[in-house]
Amino acid sequence: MKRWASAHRGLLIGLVVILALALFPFSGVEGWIVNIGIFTLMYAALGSAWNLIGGYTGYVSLGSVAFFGLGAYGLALTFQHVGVGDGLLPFALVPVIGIAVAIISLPLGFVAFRTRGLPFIIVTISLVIILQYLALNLTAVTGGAPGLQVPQAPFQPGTYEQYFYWAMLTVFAVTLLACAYVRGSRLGLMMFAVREDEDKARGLGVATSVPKFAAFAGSAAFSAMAGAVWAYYLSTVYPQFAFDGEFLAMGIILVAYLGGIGTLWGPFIGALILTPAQQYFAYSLGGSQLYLIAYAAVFVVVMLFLPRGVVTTFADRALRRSRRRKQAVEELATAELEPPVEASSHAVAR
Amino acid sequence: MGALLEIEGLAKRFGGIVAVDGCSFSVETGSITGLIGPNGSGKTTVLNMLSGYLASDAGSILFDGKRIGRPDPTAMYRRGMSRTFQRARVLPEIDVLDNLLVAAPKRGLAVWGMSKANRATVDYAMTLLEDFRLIRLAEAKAGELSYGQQKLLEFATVLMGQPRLVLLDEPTAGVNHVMVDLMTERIRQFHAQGLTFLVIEHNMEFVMSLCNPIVVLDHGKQLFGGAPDEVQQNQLVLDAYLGD
Repeated sequence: MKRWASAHRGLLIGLVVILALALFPFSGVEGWIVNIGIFTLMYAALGSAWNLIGGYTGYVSLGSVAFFGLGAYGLALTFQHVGVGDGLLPFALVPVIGIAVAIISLPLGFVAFRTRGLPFIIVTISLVIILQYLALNLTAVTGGAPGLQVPQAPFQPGTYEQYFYWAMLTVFAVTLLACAYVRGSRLGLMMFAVREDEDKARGLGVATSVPKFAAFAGSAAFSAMAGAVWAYYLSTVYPQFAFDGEFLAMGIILVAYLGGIGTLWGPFIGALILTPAQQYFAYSLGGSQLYLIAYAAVFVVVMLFLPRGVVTTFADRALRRSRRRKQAVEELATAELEPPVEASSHAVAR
Repeated sequence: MGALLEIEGLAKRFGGIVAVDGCSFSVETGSITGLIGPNGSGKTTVLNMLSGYLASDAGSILFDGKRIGRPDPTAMYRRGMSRTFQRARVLPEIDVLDNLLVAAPKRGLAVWGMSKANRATVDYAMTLLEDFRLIRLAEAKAGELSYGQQKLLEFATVLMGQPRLVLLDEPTAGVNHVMVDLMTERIRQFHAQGLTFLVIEHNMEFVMSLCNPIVVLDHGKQLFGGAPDEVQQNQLVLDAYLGD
């Protein structure tokens, strides 16, 4: 069947892209380029995780950063209180942190899902602010403003970035795989139904809390995993950066919007455009705040020409092209149903 | 046959406005019951309470002999009562076939499966699309359909749950007569297969030819109930519609 063929083709494309990304550090690029790669993949992972809740269920959340920060602090705290070894061993902790944060997210979701639409956005951004204040003030646990130190990984200078690159790539690949599964499954169909018309979906027997909580917790898990890798990479965690409700929170949503909300590859494409641009401008215009303006300009230009995002726009064009071939048939079908006659008369006046 | 749905003293007040005022009637199993009344007589409000979208202030609802304490849309659908909306509501950004698959009842672990629906469900959805002449549009986004086609799609969608009672809220409003004929044909077809209908409608030609009995609401309560010819001759009904 056609759907099967397209699913297999998608899987193949995914494998090729992930493989190509995995081989990228071997191409002889310098460490600082791999560093940009790490952040690109981080935004791709965070954007894809955000897409689960914001793009698929339509619950626009600014809370991704909260879970990213929880993941980062989770790793730092585990280092501090439990021996986790060094080198590659701490990476094994990343999925554990993901699951733990997903569990923590459930009661938070219970509160957040009392609302929808704009109030939901406010509740989720509040979550970030609250956690940042807690991180700043619970000094006994979080170390307060100076943050927590994570022992630096004992990797060789020439290859130091590579391990984090592959770790971040793994987080992204897992997130992407989860998104791909969701899109082809009953669960994803329920998420889309919630996004399209939640009340209507309830009237069609959809238990809407299942897709909502699945998306919320899944999104939290993947964001936390990215946060954990990030913390190990930087080997330090500050409240302002872990629970960054401005730059990072916006960045996550920008990559998703730019690439195309609700699409599988959108956040990755968005990250591929925005993150290197942002890093490049930060290097070249770093001293001034000008780089933020340049960064915003990239976003504005893309949105000006592709207002619905890169992937959405091109996918639509491809669809229209293939449709045009079938159009004659469709017009026939429509004509059969809709002759140019006015609506039926009403026997009794209203 | 007994009543599939019994409503007793249903009431709803919005602030100072009494929308439904102790409304009582029943829908016999296997009937196509019409629900008519002037604008503002409370028809849609009754439907919203029945389908669990609106909490009632008073009254009781018996579906299939069981008292429904606090109806909830999901639960009502799963019990076998589904509805359409006055203004067609479809899921615009997902395709027509998926619109139907969403409405296939599935619970528990099946939700976590790898596919959207099993073979039999997809086949049933395709059969419905064929019946409603939407098969060629199966892969189009529901939002791209004409309004009339969306109405047909919404009707087809609620049939996915194998309901016993379907509540249709103005199925012919804004729909051209070819589609009205198609709609009528389908109602008759599924009625013949044992499905019960409660139809709200302003199109009298449609109601009088299709429904029996007909319940007339006015000011939130039942004014009259009976066969189409009785309704047409009843002075109270004529007064309510035309003013006295």
